[in-house]
Amino acid sequence: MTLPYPLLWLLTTAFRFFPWPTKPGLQAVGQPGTDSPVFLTGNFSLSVARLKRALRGLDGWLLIANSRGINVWCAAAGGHLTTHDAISALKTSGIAGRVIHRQVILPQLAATGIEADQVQERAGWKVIWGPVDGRDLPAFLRGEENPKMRQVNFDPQQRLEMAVMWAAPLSLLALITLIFGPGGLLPLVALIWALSLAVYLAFPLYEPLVARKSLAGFVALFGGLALAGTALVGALAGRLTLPFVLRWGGLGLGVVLLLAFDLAGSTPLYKSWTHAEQSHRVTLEPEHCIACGRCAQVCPRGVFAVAESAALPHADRCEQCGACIVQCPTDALLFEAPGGERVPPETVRRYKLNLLGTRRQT
Amino acid sequence: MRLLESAPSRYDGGIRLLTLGQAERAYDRLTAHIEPGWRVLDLGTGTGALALRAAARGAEVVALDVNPAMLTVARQKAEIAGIAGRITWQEMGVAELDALPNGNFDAICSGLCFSELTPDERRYALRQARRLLRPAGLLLLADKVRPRQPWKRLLIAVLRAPLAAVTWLLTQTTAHAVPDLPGLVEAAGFEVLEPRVGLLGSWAEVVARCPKKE
Repeated sequence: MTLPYPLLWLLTTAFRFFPWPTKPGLQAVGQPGTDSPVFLTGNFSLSVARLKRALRGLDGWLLIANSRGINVWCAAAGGHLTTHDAISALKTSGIAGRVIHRQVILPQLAATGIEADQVQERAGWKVIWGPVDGRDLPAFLRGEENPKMRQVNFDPQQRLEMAVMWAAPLSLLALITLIFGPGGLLPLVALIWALSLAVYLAFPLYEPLVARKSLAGFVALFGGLALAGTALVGALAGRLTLPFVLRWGGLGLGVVLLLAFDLAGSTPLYKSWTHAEQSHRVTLEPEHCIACGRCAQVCPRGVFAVAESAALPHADRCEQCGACIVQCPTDALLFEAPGGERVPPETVRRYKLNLLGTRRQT
Repeated sequence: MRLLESAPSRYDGGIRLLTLGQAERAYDRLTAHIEPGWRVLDLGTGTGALALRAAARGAEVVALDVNPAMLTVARQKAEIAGIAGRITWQEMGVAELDALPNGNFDAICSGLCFSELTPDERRYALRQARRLLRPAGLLLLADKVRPRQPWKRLLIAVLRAPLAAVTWLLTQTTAHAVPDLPGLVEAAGFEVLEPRVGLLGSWAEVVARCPKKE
């Protein structure tokens, strides 16, 4: 897509539920030569545009793999950006003829889908895990790494994007109310946007509710706020009647329920309420650990500390993305369900998650 | 649209609906060219439609796909049909074809796979196909294609939209289109024998012969 960036942002954020593919293949950034760095990413239009902006002023090769137009993290976890896609990009794009080295920098969040060892073995390229955010790449390339670069956060801009991602489709859905007459549409759309922005921008304030998986708590909190807000608006507009409060409070509650549907999964910090493995613990088998440190490199939540062996001092932060399990060269890490059942590493590598958070075997 | 995830177990039904049965008829026509005892390679076998037909005609088949869940469904179907012994399944993509030896196959078939590949992958796959086929070996392809005329593309998009939506909702299956499959095959040096284009130019079947090696 060659849309101007603000328009691209608006389109791909309002309709983030849909894939937005851009052309896969090799592209030059700046004036790259035979020893310039190689960056691999998926083909979600917004990601590619952002990566190009982040690399402005640098010289490098941008290798766009086929992730079906889905962003790197969702694609990697969902089986749409796989080891095969990385190998394919490296072997079919002609990059091997453009550089003399064989090192490729991957976004850290691809680690749940692309096995570095397999890329080395089957394509002959060494994978270097870059930072979570492409904007940290210039500093990363200068050797100025810091642990924060390897962790996801949920900063105000991301929260704004999630609010837009929900409010835009819900606003379109609100068009259905035109069958009841035109008067209610604008207030309903205003309600949708107000609640979406409130829910996402205020996230840090009620985050403990989400961390404890308290769906009921969240709905009670925001449902109550919607009701109170409705009463306030009613009073200010001089229309504070019971039918008014019930109708608009009810609509507000409906919007809150829709937002709550995947609130946890819409943050990078917690798994969706429906995710089958959300209560799984990552377990280390210390006898297999060789302290290579890959788990610490790829974990987006800073769970690991590696000295003579890996340890999980912040295991409570884990959100079961599986990256550590996928990358461990000795299969020392695995998922353990609350009942004690274990998910073997090969299962996590081969069978990826569907939209409801279940591992797809057929 | 990828609102839900692809579901390999619903793939066959989805493709039957989406192509109105055309895909299965095309696979029957293509595999009619396969002789008993032939070594056949099926690229992007998915749930094994072409591999199973080739094996049923007495061929020894190597069937590849990148999706382990698809291969699981394919294996089950082969077991039920009693021809599992003739088919070797491998989790492999077209970019990894260089692992297979030269000139070993009598035929290479591929259905609704090229439309899932990137342009780089398609060219790579066809180069590999020339290497992997014996002289005068056959390339058998079936896929959705994009008609050349814009008015046809628009018409197909409009006609297709309701069917695509229903198929997606019921089976989470969808399909894409290759810009010019016969042209691509010719450009790779194959001799195209029977190009067959149907459904308003939105579907192509290509039977092509690998040139004799120099």
